[in-house]
Amino acid sequence: VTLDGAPPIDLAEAGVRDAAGFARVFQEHAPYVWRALRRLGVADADADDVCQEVFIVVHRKLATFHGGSIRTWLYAICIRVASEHRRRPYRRREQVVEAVPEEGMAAPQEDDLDRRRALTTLDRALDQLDDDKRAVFVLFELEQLSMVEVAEATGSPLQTAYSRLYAARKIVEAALARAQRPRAAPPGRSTA
Amino acid sequence: MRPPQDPPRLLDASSDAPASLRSALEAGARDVPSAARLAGIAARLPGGWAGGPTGSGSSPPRPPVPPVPALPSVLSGAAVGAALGLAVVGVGWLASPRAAEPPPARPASIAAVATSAPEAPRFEPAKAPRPGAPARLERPAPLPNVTASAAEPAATEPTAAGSLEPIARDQESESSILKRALDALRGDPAQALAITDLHVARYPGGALAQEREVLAVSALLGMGRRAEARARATRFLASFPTSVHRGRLEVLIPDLQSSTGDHKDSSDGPSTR
Repeated sequence: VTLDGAPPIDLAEAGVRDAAGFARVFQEHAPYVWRALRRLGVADADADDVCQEVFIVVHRKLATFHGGSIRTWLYAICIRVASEHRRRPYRRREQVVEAVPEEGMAAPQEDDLDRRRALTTLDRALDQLDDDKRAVFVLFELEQLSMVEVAEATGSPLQTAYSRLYAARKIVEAALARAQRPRAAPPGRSTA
Repeated sequence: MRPPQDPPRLLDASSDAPASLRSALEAGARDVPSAARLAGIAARLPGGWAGGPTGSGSSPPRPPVPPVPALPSVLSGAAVGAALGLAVVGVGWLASPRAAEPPPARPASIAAVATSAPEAPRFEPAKAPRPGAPARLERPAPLPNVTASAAEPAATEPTAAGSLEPIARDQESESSILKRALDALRGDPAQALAITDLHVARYPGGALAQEREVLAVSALLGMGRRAEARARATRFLASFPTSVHRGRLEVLIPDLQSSTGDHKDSSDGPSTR
């Protein structure tokens, strides 16, 4: 089942209908690709461009895809493109305020603010991870891939993927615990 | 040797993850792009997402890139054929209600795609407009040029439809229509709603139907028609209970959850595997 209830794409036939396949891949997976890119460290202001890059790669390579999990394949592309993006010297470092109409039409809701805070907290914690651990953590915990798929997408042995997952969990939990801790008073400020 | 069983995910109910970690992960799982952003990405993809305004006699030829058709899973087989025909042959013929007729000529491979592509359920905001008949739209007044365009071939004559005139071109792609709606939403939600109505009429089972509905709900909210917005969002979620746009609608209409049931688990992530 896919986003709109359509049957999942049968990419075994992609070789003969890759144009149609591409369109369906985008429709079914673009939101998840975008989300994965964000958690893999692509800034919000760059996410659309990088997502486009991913699908340009998909467009070019779809005809060469032969079976297996399309999501695993897509996430492998995401990891590579996101990694290349983060290494670019000219990637944007400032958040660009975008006009998001849906949000602009409604008054800010407390739930929405809480969600944004939680998202910021998550991203800061993920920033503590190196690329390899981050990819494993994001794909398993957020994108809900199996560990076998995670290992395939990250190109690592299964046991290595497990090791990275457990290590990543510790780092993320510690980072969140630090974030929850009340900040110490600045030096020199008296509480008296 | 069988691989070891996966550990419980931190988001699983059985996980003993701290509440702060769980809420952070939940926020991450719900962070999906808005409809407008997806439409914007789609519009920039090779070949033009949904065909785009291409291929009339005076248009320059398309670059030699593989064709990217309209999203076929939400189009009928005939419409898929039309959309693919558009992308491949480069004629400006769009999948409108009159696309029920097969395109006059298309490559055999495209015909095969069109006949084999599965048909996905269509979302009908109110009642599906029928070819040749005025669309029954959310707004009381249907767009006159919508009806006209559905009955006439590739009309490019100017109409007297005022500010809506530029959008009623037969060759306009789905994404282009919705981008217009998005632009209008910022300053004129009524106009935005009218443009989404046009999309309903032009692409009743369109690939971007979900995105259109989110824009329409936003427009209704912008016009202060909250009850209608809520009703439309409710219908949308009834049709697409696991839509990635669910979270966005719940932000727009906070009391939406109570009327549509809690589908958080199914909408939070790609649980559609």
